[in-house]
Amino acid sequence: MKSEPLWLRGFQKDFSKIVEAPLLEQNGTLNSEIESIVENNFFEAAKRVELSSKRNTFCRFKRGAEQYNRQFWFRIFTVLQTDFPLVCHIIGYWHFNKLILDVFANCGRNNVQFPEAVNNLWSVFVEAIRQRNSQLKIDFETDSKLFFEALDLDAAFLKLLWTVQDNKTILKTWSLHSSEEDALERIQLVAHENWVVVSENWNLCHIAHSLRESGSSGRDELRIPSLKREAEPCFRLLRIEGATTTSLPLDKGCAFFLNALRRENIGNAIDSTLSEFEDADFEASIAKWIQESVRLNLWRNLTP
Amino acid sequence: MPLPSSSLGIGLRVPLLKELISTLPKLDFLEVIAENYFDQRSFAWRWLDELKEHYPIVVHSVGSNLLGSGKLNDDHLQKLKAVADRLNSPLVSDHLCWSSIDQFHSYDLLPVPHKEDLVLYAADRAKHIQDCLQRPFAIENLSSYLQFTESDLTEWEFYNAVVKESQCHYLLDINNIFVSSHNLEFDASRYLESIDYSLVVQIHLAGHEQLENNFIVDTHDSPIRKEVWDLFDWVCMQKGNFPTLIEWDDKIPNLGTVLCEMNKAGTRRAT
Repeated sequence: MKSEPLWLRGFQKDFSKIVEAPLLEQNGTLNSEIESIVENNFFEAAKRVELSSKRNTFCRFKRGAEQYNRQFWFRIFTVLQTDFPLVCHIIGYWHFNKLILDVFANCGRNNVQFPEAVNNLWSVFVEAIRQRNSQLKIDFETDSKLFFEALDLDAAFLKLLWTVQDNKTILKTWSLHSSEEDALERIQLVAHENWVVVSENWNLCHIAHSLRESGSSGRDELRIPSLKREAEPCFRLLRIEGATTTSLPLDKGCAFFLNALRRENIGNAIDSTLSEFEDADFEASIAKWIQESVRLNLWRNLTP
Repeated sequence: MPLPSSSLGIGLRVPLLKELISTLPKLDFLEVIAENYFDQRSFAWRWLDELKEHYPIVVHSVGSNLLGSGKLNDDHLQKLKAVADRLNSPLVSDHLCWSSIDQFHSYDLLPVPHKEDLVLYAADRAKHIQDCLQRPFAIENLSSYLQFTESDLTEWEFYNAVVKESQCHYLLDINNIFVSSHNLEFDASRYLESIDYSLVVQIHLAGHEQLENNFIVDTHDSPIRKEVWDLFDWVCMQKGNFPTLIEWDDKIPNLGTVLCEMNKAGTRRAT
């Protein structure tokens, strides 16, 4: 393989500093301003490209370099807006982008490890929001629960998506035979990774679903329901199958039971559900919930 | 030519998938962005595996870092080959640009000065990629917003030299030529006239956006503009037909609109 020209590495290191320079907040927008980059210790990098830009006109260089600078950041914003649609919707696009910019700028321009930063983003979000709550359009003190619920739900969606994409090793499935029914209570069910039970105090699942649907079909078709506080906490089963995400409403008891089944064998899950709710009707409901969970293919070792 | 010269195709993007699979419209090939399918266990492969039964699927990469400093990324190359193998892709393509250095990833296609001492370096890397992939490798020209006085070759001289030295092929993006020629003030027809069309294996067409300050950005978010169609017409009339693909990557409309744009290319070629 031919060795690389001596100038190539230095050129690309310099150019990369311009591309990843943080955008600046000006008049309520996020702008690329190469001149300020020059002032902020990027002089050598900027000078090198400026001097080499054709006709040596700073204006031409500035216009082109700023385009690459903007593209770098807005690609990141767009990816994260897609991953955190509820958070973005609730705090607004501008604040969301500014938050991302702060998060990445705080990591240090030369130390941004994009995948790792995304993996840890929700914890970083929480800290950043706590520090910057006065700039957000939501009233942090009164609406913080809403924000964190949205964050949790976005995180749940993302986690499901990543888990499903990882397509963890599928265990050999096991079907219940009639001769084994007496052993049912001792069975520890193993959940598929593509579902989770969530609770919500606002209609966030509905909004998230609309945002995700709209996101994949273009912003022009955006029809987002208004935010509405529920009379009491609601429970939903979030599932991802292929590219489709569904959220099914659950009774409070069913939500408790499904979570119990993830931790305990069937017998113990039934006992803990009945002791939690002390409601005779639940006994009849439990058989129905198990049947429904099997029909929905929630378990690796109990097939429909 | 890996694809028949009359072929017309579209870039496969997620919002188009459902409609594509349910209607299986008439088109000659699809093109996928390879990096989106590097995880071969992902659900997306269910669709690709189904679609490849109906259409040839061409693999297009954005991450080979052909003009990058440092070693080629073997892991990327192996994954690229695995995607191309699974799809039985008749060719693979990537851009004449750099996109990362050390820990910096731009997620963009970045320019370099077009210097003579870069030609053999780039050609050697392209040839290595083609050898590893065991299928034709086509190099795509990029849209640029900057050029450099350090350059001692024009963009087309540099592009031609790399393709010739590497014994690879051209993926000629006519929209990119127009965007660059407008922003950097050169004559697009000179660029097109310089190309060795015996090595062109595919053409890309796409929309762009002209900003208020007259700057043009390669957005792929709209129908193809008249100026780009005019250049396409020139190629068809002067040099013949080539497999042609419509790229629509943002503000993606319904499948019918994208296919309508694709069919326009067919109609213009016929006339």
